Amino acid sequence: MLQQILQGLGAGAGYAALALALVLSYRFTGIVNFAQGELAMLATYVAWQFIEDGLPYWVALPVTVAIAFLAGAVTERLVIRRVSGEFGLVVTTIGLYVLVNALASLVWSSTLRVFPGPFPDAPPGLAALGAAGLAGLVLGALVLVLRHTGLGLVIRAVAADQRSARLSGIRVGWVLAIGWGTAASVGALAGVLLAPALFLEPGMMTGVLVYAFAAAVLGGFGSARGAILGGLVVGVTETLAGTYVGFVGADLKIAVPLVVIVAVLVLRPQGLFGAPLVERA
Amino acid sequence: MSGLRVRGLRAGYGAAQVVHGIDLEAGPGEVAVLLGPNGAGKTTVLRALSGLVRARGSVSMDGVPLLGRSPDEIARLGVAHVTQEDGTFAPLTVEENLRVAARARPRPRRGVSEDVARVFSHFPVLQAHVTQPAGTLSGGEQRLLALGRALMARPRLLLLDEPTRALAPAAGARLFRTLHSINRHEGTTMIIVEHSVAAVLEVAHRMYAMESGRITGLRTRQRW
Repeated sequence: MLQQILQGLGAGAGYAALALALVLSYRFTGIVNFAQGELAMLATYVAWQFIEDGLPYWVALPVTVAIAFLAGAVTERLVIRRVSGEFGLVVTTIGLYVLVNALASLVWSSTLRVFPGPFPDAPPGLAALGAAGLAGLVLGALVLVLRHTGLGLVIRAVAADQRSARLSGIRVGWVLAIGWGTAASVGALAGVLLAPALFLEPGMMTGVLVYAFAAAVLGGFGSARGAILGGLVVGVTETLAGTYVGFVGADLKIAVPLVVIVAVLVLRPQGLFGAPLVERA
Repeated sequence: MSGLRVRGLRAGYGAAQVVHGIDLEAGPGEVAVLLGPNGAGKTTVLRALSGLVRARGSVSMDGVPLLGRSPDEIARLGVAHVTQEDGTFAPLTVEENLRVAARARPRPRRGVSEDVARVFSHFPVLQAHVTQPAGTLSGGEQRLLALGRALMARPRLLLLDEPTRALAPAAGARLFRTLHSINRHEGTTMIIVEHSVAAVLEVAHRMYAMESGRITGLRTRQRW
């Protein structure tokens, strides 16, 4: 069972990262970015290409995260901010989903590719724990920046109320670009952490996006800490259910996050880790 | 004359023009009050001055033109706007709300703690809620926090849209005494939108009457 829990934590770290990316872009634009998983997949291909070309893993990873940041920021400035209305934004992210998927298929084909893990020489359980630790380190640092730095304060202010932020002299456009860049970076981390277990191919993140939705809903959509904890819980639950619940097995594992989403929305819409909205009228 | 100078200001929403070419001014350290019924265009004038709505005409603050600039740029030029809406960041604590408002200053990091203490001295009720999310404050407390946030910017021009809305009469009177004190001691130029003449008599240097998007009367302090 310990082995399964460790494996679940390893997968959950990836779900947590993608869930956090979803939450970040949601808090800035008020909509769910359906392209978040595909952007993560694209970044993972970039990392794979770097490694194939001889770059060490621990150099390829930060370089990829930096490129993902720039790509996310540029996407916000060139595409997202020019679209008005929530419906238009949702359709745009679905369009990005299709476009990025097609682009990856065009450049790298649909062949399954092996992606190395961060700790290739460690036993599977320890490697998964190491991946979870790496994600925890990065996501924890991000949460600390958001909560305890001047930049984090500005980002949270923009996420709360863009008009008031503008009237406070904050360059909202740049902060939104930073927010999208950060979401794309965190998504890239998710892709790189999950690729060793999933194999790299253009449809790699489609299922993961459902797990990330479940994690974000479980944590309370909008809560960064909730998304991280939700990801870990979903990862462990999915692994344990797939192993120990007879009728679930490998085939029905994808149903686990859907059950989680429905159960949370019915029983506790604010999520397990989010507080109910306490705001005076 | 420096201070705020507005000439031929026209503003509105889409095709609907609400303000039809008004002139107004407030010298350095002066308080000008816009009075008038609902729908007169008072709020739209303030929104035009802070860049929230597109406007035509000429607006300058201490000789620097304001029209055509974005709201954040106008804020960094020293114009703080307390809107009718709450104007606070609901999930952020009271102290975080005040600290982030200092971003509009030329040197956003310098003297922030001193200015937070200064705001608390003006509005002691906020100090009691310093670690509380702004969204959980009462309507009146949120108005005071919005005003405190504006003061954190150390503005040269303060635009106040019905500052006493949601305040009890006694609290409203106290607020105008505070504004009077800030105006006298810090020399902040103010444009205040208000319904009640009696409330602003003490603090105002000039009062403009507005109706249907036009200025219909002007009284200066010497004439009341």
